[in-house]
Amino acid sequence: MLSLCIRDMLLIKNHWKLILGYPIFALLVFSKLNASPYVIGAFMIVYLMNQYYFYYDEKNKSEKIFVSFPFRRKTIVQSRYLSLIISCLVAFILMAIAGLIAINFDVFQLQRWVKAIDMVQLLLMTAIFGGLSLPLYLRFGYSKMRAINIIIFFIIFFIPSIINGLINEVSHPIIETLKNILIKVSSYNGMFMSVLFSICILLVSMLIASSFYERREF
Amino acid sequence: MSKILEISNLRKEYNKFLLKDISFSLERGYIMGFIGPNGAGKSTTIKLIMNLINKDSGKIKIFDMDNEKYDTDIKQKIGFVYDENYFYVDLSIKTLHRIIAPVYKKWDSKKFNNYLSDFDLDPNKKIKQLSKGMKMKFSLAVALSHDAELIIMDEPTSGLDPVFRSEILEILSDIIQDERKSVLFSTHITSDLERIADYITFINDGEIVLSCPKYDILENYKIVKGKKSLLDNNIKRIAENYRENSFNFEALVSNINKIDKAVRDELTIEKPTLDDIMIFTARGEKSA
Repeated sequence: MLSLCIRDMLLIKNHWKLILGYPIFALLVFSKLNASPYVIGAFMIVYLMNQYYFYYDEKNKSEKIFVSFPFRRKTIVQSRYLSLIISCLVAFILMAIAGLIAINFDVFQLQRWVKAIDMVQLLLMTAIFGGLSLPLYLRFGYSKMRAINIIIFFIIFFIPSIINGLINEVSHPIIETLKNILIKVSSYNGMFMSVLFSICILLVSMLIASSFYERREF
Repeated sequence: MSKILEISNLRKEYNKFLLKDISFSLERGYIMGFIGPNGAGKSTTIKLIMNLINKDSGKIKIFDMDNEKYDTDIKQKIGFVYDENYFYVDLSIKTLHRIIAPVYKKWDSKKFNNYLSDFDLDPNKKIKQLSKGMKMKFSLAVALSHDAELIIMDEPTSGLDPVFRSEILEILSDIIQDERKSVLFSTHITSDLERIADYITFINDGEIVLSCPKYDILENYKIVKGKKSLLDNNIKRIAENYRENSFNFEALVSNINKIDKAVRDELTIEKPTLDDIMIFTARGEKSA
């Protein structure tokens, strides 16, 4: 499985300059949003990296080769989920480094450096995005699912900003309840539950994707 | 002799095409040419062997093991070359080597590098910088570098010039010097097979027309030609197929002795090529 994840990393090696430069752009653009620029920026990187993996598979029809290699189909599916998690970690580290540089040089008017809650939020967003999109990609391929995945991405991308905006600007019992939930999420217990929830989403999604992929014909 | 590949009653309905309960087998140490016109079912059969598509019924045994149950064990010992390149074109040969080497337990990097050098492939070149022939050689280098016992090739020579084709055929002849190894070679360029194949399996419209040693086919089948007046009911009946015009006829027959000696003496009898056999047989109904 590790060789499949290494493959994913090698596939995007021509795009590392863009991926490394992206955090600076993300901090510049998203620092004025209600949501954490670290989470939004990192999520964009996760999305980009995963798009590249599937784009190259589709462009070269390379799944035919990998299914012909001595890999279980289940292993191929698992490797895509592992690559998703790796991309999440890489994106977070890149945003953290960019944030550190920006704060030291006092640019982009950043109010704070990364926090644990950023990582939890990023993991949750990644899990929801991957949980929905990976089974579709693995079942139908990149080109058929691109439009649907862009919609999934934008829904997940804008939800934190919308929620933060609502909390800060609207007074309503439902919003108050949401606020309380988010305060709880910010606590250690809440963060633990969010991580657990993210893992559950990914596991269920992986089971569905595996059953799709087992039946797929190349 | 042990069978390296055994297909029994294999059936698959697929994209408005039906593979009709086909059966054939390949023994160790031989090259089998898998021939048939485009759309006959060659690629579908190979996809089923490689588990790329799911069969409806039947059995495929490779190395005496069920190909679905022991999929990964079997694939460790299979080298495959497909009709076109499916490797990532933006990656270099060196990078692909890094990805592929850990996949096989018996991967031999020294052997792979020797093939690269023999095939004149620069490891730093990206796949997209290679010609079609060079891409095919790269696929072959991958297929031959992990001590595979069964090499499966789906139309590897199609679209290649005669020099490249000849080189690939020589490589296959070398492989078969190791008597543990076998090659299943699908093609519609039958002249390639006349040089190297030991067995021929001919598939047409999803059915196996024949599967036997190449020399039996070339010895038994004959093309008979003569005046139209000699085309009697007996020839029409025993011919695999025939064609006629206002003056003459020609027919493909598998047993020349079934034609009356008196008639036979007036006919021109020729040895067919595999191409002739394929063309006559693929034409379907006997043409009047």
